[in-house]
Amino acid sequence: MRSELDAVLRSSLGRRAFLKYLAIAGGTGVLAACQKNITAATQGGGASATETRPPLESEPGVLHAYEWAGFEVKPLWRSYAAKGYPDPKFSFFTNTEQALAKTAGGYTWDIVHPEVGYVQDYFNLGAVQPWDTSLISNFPDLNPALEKAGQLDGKQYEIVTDWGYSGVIIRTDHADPSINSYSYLFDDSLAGHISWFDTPWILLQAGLVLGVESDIFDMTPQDLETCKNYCIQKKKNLYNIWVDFTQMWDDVRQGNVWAAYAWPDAWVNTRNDAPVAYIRPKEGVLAWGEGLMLNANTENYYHAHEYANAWTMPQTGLWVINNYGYGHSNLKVDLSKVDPAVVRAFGLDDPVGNLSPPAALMDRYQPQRDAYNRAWDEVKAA
Amino acid sequence: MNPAVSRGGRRSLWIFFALLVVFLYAPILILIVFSFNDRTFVSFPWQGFTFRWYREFVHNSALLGALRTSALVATLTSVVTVVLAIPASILLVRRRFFAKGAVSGLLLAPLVIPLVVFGIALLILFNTVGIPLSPLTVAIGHIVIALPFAILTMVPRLERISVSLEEASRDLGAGPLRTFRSITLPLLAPAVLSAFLIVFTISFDEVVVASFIAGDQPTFPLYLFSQLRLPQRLPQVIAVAVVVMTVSSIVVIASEVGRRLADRRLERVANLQQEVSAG
Amino acid sequence: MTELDLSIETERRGRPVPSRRRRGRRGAVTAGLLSGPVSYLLVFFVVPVVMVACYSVGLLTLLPQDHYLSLRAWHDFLFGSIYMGVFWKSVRMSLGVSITSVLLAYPVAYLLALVAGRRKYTLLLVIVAPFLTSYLLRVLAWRVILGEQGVVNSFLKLVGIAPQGWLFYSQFAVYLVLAYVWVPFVALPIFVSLEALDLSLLEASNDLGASRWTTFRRVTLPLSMPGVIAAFVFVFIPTLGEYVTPLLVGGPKGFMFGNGIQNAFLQGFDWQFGSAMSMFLIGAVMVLMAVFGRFVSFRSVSE
Repeated sequence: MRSELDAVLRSSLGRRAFLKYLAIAGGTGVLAACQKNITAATQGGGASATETRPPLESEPGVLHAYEWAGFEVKPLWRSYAAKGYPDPKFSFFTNTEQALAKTAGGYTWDIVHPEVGYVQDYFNLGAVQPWDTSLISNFPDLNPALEKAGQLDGKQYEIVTDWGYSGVIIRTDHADPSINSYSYLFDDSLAGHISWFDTPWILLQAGLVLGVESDIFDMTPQDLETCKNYCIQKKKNLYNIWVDFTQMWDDVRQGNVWAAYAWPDAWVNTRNDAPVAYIRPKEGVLAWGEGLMLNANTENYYHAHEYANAWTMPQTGLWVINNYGYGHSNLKVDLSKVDPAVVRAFGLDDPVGNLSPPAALMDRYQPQRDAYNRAWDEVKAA
Repeated sequence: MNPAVSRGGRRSLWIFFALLVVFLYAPILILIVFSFNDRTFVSFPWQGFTFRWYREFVHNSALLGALRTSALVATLTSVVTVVLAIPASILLVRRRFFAKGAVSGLLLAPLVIPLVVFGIALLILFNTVGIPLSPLTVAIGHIVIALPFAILTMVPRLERISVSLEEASRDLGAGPLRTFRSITLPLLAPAVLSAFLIVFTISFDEVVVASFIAGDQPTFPLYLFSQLRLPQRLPQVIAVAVVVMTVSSIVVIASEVGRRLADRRLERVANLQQEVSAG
Repeated sequence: MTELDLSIETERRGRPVPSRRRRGRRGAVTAGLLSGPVSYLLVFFVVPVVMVACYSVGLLTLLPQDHYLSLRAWHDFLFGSIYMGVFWKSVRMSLGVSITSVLLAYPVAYLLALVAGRRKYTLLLVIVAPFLTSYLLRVLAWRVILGEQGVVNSFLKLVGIAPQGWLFYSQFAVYLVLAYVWVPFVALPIFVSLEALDLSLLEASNDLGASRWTTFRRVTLPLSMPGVIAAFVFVFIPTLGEYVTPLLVGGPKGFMFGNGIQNAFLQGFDWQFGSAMSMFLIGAVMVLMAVFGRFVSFRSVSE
């Protein structure tokens, strides 16, 4: 037996031939990869919008939601479950950039949950199609300041559900709340106790403090250079650049950090342990929304709409605000069931005004993301 | 008397070892302590003793599922990697063959590739060929990154095993397979065990590649990373880590028992060696 | 790549040359046995790397409309960026961490292999076991130990010494945590090569009047070199691309080459640039290993 096998191996697959075959096989794989990738990218982009779609009853029915951990819990889609639809299947991303990259690599889902700044990126990849807002009965109640950020060419590509600010948390025992500016993050008098988040948005905040002329989301090279140099110059004031927000919260609580780039949940989670204030700077606070986007080739079109409807219920909104410390896009959330201090800190009493200029600058697509990223790398490497 | 070490040297080596164990276990000890702390932050001050996190994770089926997935992936990865690495290591050490430099370079090359890049590229490949993402695809990726570690663990050992034993066995008429089974493999056993350990732990803890090529069944570290958005769940994860630690300690104790059995086997091999060299 | 040859030819010169037929058969068996790992890596490693190379020159792109052949990314990376400086910083860090880890691991491997006797495998497991606890959690724990309000600083305060800020969010922390991560892994290849050492060699050396130290230097150390080199490679290469540890514990100075690659792919969504950086890293390691292989002659340590 063995010698037979040896003989076969010897005659048919010499080493050279063997390696040659492998090389050929490898090359074919690469070529195939190239081809497939191109075709995958050129399809989609709402191509299926005009096709006749099977009705809800004939859809497979189990939605695949690619989500943040924590957004799989039932209170967020209770009304969907109540209608008897099967429970969705969830997979989780570790961060939003990773989700986009994984999608670009060909990973598919029915629904994904990115920030509004990434709507254009998903569209460019041909991964998404617009929602039919007439199928979402809650849609008229949603915050127009947010939903506008989810549109491209007048079509609703993202149903924005939850939102927050990228403001500053300060220790009021060390920093004066009345300054009310992003300048806390660069302030020499707080040296050694400032914490940035690891994001190019710090450059935007520097731009706001410096009052640069050009649009901070799409700065001219000179302005970007100015912001970069300002950050490099002020980097000496840092305690750290945080990546894990629980550690940042702890550093604020313990008094290691007096001013930090923070989302409102940081304030919600530290306000009982330390004298802190959440600052929405006078330059205009950077705000972000995130919500549901629909896959271009989903087989669960109507289920997805039902699901989006559940996510935009006022009850869902209340739950998100009270449990996660994020805002919610539905304007009919019963604020009497929310802590008044939270309402004040988030500006929930006037969510449209507080999320529009000049009070806030809403996140949006950054055409020069690569340039911003490299400038930010330079700041960190300095 | 041990020729490798003097009495004083022996003592200092043991002291050094003890210090290193303290170094290695200090963070573990911290985790154990804080898994009972009634607070969501891993930090002082102490807030009070609780079993809450343990109670909660027992009912967290997603977490337990992730743990199972990781155990499956790590087992699969370590078995396949070691099986691939044994012949590769032996041939690298014992044979001359065409393009040997290139082959050994290839076998070690996966050490180099940045994991993010590898994860994305592999995802595109799977997608192209039409392999659906699952624990299996994670294992496929982990085998690639673990293979060099396994080979690097076995090659130095093989270099120290004398060829004459194998030749003697052949001269006595044993076929290559028999020689491998009764001479090479037992002598290689410590390296195989080490490689298995290394690969298992690498796979069990790998998150970057897994984050791209895992489907809807996350591995344990992947689950953990995604939970970082939710501080409330962190203590549960720590409780699980403590349990994993405890279980692996039990494995250590079990292996002590296993070792005694293995020793007896090795004695048999040693006897065989003597027979061979005598013959 | 072809320079990298960790293997040692142990076939001895004096043996009769096998017949042509036998050699041919052995060749076939060799090819057969190697085909498993080699073809596995060709499919699941080489193909992805070739894809990355294609991305770096624009043969493959994220969006079909960008499809073009261009060396822009390479040019920008090599001549117009900070990343070369960062690369050398990473090389220095890798060297430091690998040397530290090997120095810490060698005595332990020595103890386990030559002194510990029958307990050695159990002790080996004792060393490796902590690594089943997630890396991320262990880093969190280090913060509790070394952080501003951590165990060490609390103790220092107790005995009247001011808290030391350099313990965490610092270069020191990066070295410490990386060495911590690698030591057990590094100990294993050294252990397995020492473990195969014939104690009678050491006895002979002692009998010939050599001191223990001389014996170690002239006999034990050279014979364990393959393990030491393997261990060094173990740490050095992966650490070059390391980015998580510097990010988590390095503080404001924690930016490394691996972070650059990670950010280019994810934050910047610039796969072409990221791919160029990755291919550079892969190439640079190949060159480093070739140079390294020149300086350390593996053959000299064989019997």
